[in-house]
Amino acid sequence: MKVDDLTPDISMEEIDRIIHEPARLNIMLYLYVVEKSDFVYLVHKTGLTKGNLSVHLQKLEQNGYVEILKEFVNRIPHTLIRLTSRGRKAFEQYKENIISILQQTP
Amino acid sequence: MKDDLVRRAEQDVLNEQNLSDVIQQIVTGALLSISSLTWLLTDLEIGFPLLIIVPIIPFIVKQLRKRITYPRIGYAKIKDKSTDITIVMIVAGLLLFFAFSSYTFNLGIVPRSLLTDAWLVTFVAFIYLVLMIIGYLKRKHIIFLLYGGFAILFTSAVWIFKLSINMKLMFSCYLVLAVITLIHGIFTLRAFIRKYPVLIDES
Repeated sequence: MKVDDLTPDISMEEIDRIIHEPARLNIMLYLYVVEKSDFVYLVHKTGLTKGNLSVHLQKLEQNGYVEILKEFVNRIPHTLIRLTSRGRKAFEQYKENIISILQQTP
Repeated sequence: MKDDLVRRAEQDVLNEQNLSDVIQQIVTGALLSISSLTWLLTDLEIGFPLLIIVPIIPFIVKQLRKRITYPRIGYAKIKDKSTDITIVMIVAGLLLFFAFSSYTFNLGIVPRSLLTDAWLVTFVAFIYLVLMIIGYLKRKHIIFLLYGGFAILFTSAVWIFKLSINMKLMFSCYLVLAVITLIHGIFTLRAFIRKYPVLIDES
């Protein structure tokens, strides 16, 4: 077996660090399978605290991966979150890269 | 081809958003109870109360979910609409079937034999069974198999015990099943409310 065969085509440096963090990966996964969701849904699905979730969402928003829409429903604040097309592409790319690395690692 | 993780997450979201609160089950149980009671007490055709209530079921379910489900487990707009479209098409088909059978029967165009009702039940149960199989294949949730089993049991009972000859008995069985569905739904909803407290959006 040649040494080149054991060397992955994609290096770990190419892995998106924003998505790679476990909490954000979980958020991205659940947003990927829906069109949009509210804040309560993500609290429930990810098991993160509200403060922690807000911080991660801010980070994802700063990178253009999610879009956050704040509104009031019957005078109660309601936050809607959806993955942007950039976020969707980034998640798909992340999946491909991780699978590729795992498949090529001996 | 979707990978397992994404497919599992999709099933998880679909099941939780549509099944965990059992509101659909409660509304269906209530509708079936009203239909069978109406028939037993007033001799109205079964299609009549169904025709009035069915179009507003999605609205009732949505309003109940806004009050009960979404403040607890959150709201997610699901991408996959194929199941909803299938259900709408089948419900529309059933409505047409009920309307047509009631209309022709009332005008005396189609004479009603003793077996007509048994075939009607079989037809409805078959459609229902197909829906449940599709639901199970898509979402892998045991409730679809249970409902499918109920449909087979009920249809078998109609044929084996010739329930269609005694319509009162048939609709009494129908009522019992509907009440069991309703009571089970109410208890499950109670457990759901206790399990998931209301969460406040503090983003």
